[in-house]
Amino acid sequence: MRNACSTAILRILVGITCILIGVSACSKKETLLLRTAEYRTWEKTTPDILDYPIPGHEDKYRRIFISPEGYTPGITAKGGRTYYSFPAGTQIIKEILDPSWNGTDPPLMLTGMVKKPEDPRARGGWLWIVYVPKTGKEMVITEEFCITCHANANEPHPYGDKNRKNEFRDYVFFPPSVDSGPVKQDSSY
Amino acid sequence: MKDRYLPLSVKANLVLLVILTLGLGIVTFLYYREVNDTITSSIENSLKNQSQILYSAIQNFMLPGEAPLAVQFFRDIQDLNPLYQVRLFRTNGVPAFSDNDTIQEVNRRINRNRFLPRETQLIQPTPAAPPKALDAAKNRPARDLFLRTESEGRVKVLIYKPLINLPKCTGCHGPDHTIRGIAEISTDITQSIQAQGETIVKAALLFGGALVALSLSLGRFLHRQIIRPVREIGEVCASVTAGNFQVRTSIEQKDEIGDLAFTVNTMVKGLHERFELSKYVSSATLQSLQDDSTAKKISATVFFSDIRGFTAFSEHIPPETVVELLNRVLSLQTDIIHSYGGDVDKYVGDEVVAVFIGETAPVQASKAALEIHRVLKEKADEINALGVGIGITTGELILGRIGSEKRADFTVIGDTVNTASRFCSAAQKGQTIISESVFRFLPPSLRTEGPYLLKVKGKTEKQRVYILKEV
Ligand code: HEC
Repeated sequence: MRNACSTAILRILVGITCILIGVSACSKKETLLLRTAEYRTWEKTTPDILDYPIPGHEDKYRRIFISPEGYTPGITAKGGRTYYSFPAGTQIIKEILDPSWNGTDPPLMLTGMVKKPEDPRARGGWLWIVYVPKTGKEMVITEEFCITCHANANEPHPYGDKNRKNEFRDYVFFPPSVDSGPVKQDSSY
Repeated sequence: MKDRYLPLSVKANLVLLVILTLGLGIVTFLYYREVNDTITSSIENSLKNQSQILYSAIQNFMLPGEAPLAVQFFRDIQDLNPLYQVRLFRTNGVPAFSDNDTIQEVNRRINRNRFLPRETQLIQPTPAAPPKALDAAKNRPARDLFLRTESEGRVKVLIYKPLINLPKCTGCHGPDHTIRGIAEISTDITQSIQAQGETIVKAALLFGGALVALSLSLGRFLHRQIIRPVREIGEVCASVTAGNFQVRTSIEQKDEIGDLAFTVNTMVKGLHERFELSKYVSSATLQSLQDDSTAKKISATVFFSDIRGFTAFSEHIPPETVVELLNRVLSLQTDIIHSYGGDVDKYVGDEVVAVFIGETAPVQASKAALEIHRVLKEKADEINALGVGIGITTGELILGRIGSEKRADFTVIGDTVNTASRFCSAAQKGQTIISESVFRFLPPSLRTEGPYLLKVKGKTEKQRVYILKEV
């Protein structure tokens, strides 16, 4: 009687443990916000070759991809100023590569912006994410670090078209060109 | 472990003390932590806001190259509140604005001498940045670092804020580094910590006082409401055990204890009544009340005594005196019968009927008879020289509940009983007539006269009887 009972309890416990392990394994996969497997099929945001040093990534080589949701950001004018707004779900992934990248090595790191304004971890409507391929780990940066610097994208800055017109660029330094759309993949790099 | 006797009040107080002390401890601890957390997090928040403002200010001073304004700004802040300190370091730990290195580097980078080196030191010399501050700058992503330091009895809260080399800074400072410097803001919170400590001590003292007061009053309450009454009930029970039925509890509480006291009082009263009653009821009656039998045949010795000349005597004196004398004689006899192991079955007027049971019953009954005669003679003065005649027989008789349902006595009936009664009637004052059957049991030490042949009512044959002789 007692034995039957305890084995039943044991079975239930084992079952629960399995479910928990399963769920946690699943949820672990689910928490990967960046669509790391497909980003290379997306368009690039700039034809520029980003190999010059910038603070944040210093002298690494960078490639920026944008998910189809963001190919044409919403653009509105308010009080004489132009405002860019990327739709929710937009992902911008910047690959950080070794300066002497051979074209096949995996990137050193991915930094990403995911438009998800309702997420409490979002800053300026974006989730700021760092992904390290070696470990497969993704980290959402809730500190001010990323956004502090990216706030400079919303005012004139030294990169790309330099935002001379002081447009609100939704924290993106290299928004896909509105007139021409995003840059088509080409074989130059 | 041996069980120690602990009064209820002590037990209750112990439990109370343990519970409350634990509770108090937990509450104080949680309260302390809560207050501490609140203070710390509000200080952290305000430091964070201040560091943000400071960062904006630095940006705005530095973009047009107004380093002297920034220095003055720092000095002003410093003077405002001595408990509040703002410092700025380069990432190598050297205090910012302490030399002309940055000016020279910027001039070199923009390829013209826009900023002139200063002759005097820009800012009062401060020690180099602590290693912790440099760590804050090295973290990736760089993040604000909060610290709490305690030294020489002063508690300080610090924030180290890494200042990012923003794209707009790169024009002068170059793009080859991410962090330009570290701002340190520290404030001395010793006073508020002390105030907080005092509040907690006060609260704990208040709680402690309440605790003591509570346990004292609970102890008193328990003592008055439970322990004292329980003791009193115990004492009453002890007195009753010792044979004193006059005691009663004086508890008048309207609760369970009061109910108990009332029940005990009622019980003692009942016990008393029954005890009193047992004086009037033979042990045979009590015995059979206990074993619930209605009748049984037993072997026993029957004793009859009757006061001689009592009827004639009672006619000449007042009834009170009659009753008093009668009771006196009856009780003298009763005491002697009891002392010889007999049991008074009943009193019928001036007559005593007693039963002796057991192997030595005939001898005991005879000895009792002799003793009665002796004592009555001895106390002749007190009892108006009254005397009794006694008849004793032994044999089988019936013990039964005789009477109606409403009123019944356990008593003895049968030939043996009747014969004893006849012998008693025949005996003269001071004389004891015993049957042949009794005589056979008597030892030589008890002397007798006889046998005589006695004609008794209800029997055709004359009975062989003996007369007990005084010792
Ligand atoms: C010190 C400034 C700075 C900091 C800090 C910084 N970035 Fe950037 N980021 C840039 C610049 C400049 C670019 C422009 C592209 C380039 O040259 O690499 C950029 C581009 C990007 C892009 C491509 C989208 C765009 O703006 O064009 C992403 C995605 C990105 N950064 C993510 C991050 C994340 C995530 C963090 C925080 C971990 C971060 N960045 C911190 C300066 C910074």
